Amino acid sequence: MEDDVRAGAAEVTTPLLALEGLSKRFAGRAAVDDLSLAVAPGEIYGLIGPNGSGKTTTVKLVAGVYRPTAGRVLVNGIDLHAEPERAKRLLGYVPDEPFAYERMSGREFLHLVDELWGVPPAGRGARIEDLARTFSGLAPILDAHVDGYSRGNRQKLALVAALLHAPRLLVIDEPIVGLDPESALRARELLRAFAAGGGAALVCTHTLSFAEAVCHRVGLLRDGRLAAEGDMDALRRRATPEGSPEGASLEELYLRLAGRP
Amino acid sequence: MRAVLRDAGGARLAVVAGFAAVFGAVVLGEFLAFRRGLEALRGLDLAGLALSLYFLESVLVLILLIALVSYVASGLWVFYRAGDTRFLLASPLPLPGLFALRAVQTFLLTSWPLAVVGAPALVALGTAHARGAGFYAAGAGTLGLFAVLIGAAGALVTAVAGSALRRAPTRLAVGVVTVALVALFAVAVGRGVVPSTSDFYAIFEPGALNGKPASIKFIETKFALWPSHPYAAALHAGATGSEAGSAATRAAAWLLPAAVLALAATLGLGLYRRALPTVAESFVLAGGEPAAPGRGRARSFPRRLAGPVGALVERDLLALVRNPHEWSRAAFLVFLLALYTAFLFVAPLGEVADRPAAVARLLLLNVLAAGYFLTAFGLRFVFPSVSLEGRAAWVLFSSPVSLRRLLAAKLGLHAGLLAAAVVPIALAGTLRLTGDPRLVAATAVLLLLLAATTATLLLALGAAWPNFREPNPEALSTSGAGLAGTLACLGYVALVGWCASRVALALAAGGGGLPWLALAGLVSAALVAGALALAWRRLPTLEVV
Repeated sequence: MEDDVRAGAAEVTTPLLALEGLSKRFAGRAAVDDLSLAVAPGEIYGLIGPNGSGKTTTVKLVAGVYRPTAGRVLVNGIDLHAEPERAKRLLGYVPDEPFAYERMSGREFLHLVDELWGVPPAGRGARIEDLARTFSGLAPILDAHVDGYSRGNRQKLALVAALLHAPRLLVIDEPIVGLDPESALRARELLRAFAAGGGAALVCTHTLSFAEAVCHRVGLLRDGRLAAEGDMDALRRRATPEGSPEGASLEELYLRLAGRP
Repeated sequence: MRAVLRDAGGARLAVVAGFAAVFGAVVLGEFLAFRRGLEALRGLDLAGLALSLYFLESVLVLILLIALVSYVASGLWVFYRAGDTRFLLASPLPLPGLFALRAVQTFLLTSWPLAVVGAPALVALGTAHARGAGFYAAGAGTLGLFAVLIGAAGALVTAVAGSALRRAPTRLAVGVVTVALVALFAVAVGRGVVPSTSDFYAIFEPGALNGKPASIKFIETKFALWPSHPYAAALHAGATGSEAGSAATRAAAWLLPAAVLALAATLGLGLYRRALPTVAESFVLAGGEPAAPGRGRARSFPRRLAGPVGALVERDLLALVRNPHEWSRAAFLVFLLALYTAFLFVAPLGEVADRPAAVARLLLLNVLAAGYFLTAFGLRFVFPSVSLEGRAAWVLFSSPVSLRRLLAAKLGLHAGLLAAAVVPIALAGTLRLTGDPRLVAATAVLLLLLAATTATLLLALGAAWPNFREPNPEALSTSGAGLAGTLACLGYVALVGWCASRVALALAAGGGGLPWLALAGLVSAALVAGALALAWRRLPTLEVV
């Protein structure tokens, strides 16, 4: 069964992220249930699944904003909850709702993030400017207060903040929500470049085309458990009915794997 | 107990009951103090009659000012930026209906000075002068008219301010209007309400003018321009049978609320109709708003303090400085404390220094007042500070900075701010009471202990049971943990006040005050250690939503 679920999984030797029997219960109800997976350097791992399947909870557990009820999160072999300060230095996080401190300018916020992650002051300003220019429209408003930013601009700011300290592992909940098409394309390129540079990413998304275009492997969560895992081709093969001349569309693939009629 | 601290399930009812009990105790305490004072004044015959009128005039002026400032500060949010404004604007609700709804909502939120100060003053007045049910019914009617005046005036001022500042950010508008009103009222109270030494001479002057005691006439003239005067005169005449007031003031008690209500319903509504669409449509610029010309230079951060902890402290300071709504509230509380101290300065306390028991009692009151303000400040600004990391708390929780360092940073900042806001004013009051440097030094130590301990207690409780979903500091303060913090602080303040009075008595008797200072120090240390241990234990288990 385990082999079946992990059809097509890439061989993982030295994972930058490893979840071992991870569980999270809220008021007795399991949001994440005995979840294990690994993400290797250079790999982008996508988590998909219906609302309430445990994707965001998983991402929050990996980012260290939730504490697991059971199991472990290992970041480059460091137990996140035993040595949070060490593990979090390697981690960049973009939450599902990218709120920032509203009475700071975007630039001040990014400098604060640099300070919290211990980035040396020299070269900070230039790196902030470079990363901000990746996304259209962010650099000109960087000195305005964040409370005037739209959802999309907050998303861009959070993406830049996550990348500032050159993390080894990126954890992103819905990377392109609110972004205009050009910025979504930039985000995709940024993620690919990050992985090509040896970083690993755990990306949770409802945008199946994004997952297909960017992720090396995809895991489908259902009721807090991993229902299927593999690269998109392997998953598509699993979801295509026997004898069907064409492969399943992304939506069909999702519905079949998610157990929807 | 745990359910209460977490605000879980039916525990909310217990929290409400707890705060109601604290509120009841405060009102009862005020009633007892008012009654005792009014009974003492009754024994002074003619001067007592005048002084009780002065008391009523002052109380009603303070109610008017506090309620009006609260009304406008809250009203600028409720009238223009309440969460359901856009929904109601899109509904077929007519604008006059929305204006009336906002006026009533704001009045209900901000009419607390009438209940907290006005009601106990009325009952104390009636019992001190042994009045029957008729007096209370008439008095309630008088206060009702006064309430209508306050509500209508509040709606009118809010509409005028909202219209004038409709293109300014709401927080800035609230801050500017509140500070302007507080400054205006501070000048007006300083000149017209706080009695001077010559006022006291006039009040104790026997004689009559046009068949009325000169002292009563003097006070009536002094307060004639205050809109609260007709109501103070009516209450005084009803309770004491004095000749305070005239046919004109009796008519004004009815005409003033009617006139201001009419103005609010016409001019106020017109201004509201003009300003609301402008304010409501400026919620956000989707494309982002570039920094204003001249302010566009790239600013690094932090600019003054170094390291992660320094950056967090500087961020908190920046958030306070850039939030006029918050600092206007803080300024209002400082104004009340300063007003209290101003009364202490002008009161005829020349002979008190020679009476150790009186010094001890007044010192007790002074420390209690400082402790009360520290608790109020702490509950409003310190207790919610961890929760107010709010929806941006993910930055801290995912960062490699330990939450304990965050707490240490907040503690240093808030204890410093509390001490800076309250201790100098309270110490000035102490200097008025005594010239003994040992007593002044001992009081300074006790006040600093008070500031540090209340800040620690409230911050630790707020950190141990935070609510990252709630952005409203008032709602956060009235949680179960807020109630626990309030009770702990009030008990602790009472103990430190008692220690201060014992130190005063011991020094007057030629002894030393060290044992009492040591007791206060030990209790403070125990409370600080317990609160920090609790927060230290809970912080690593916190989760952000």
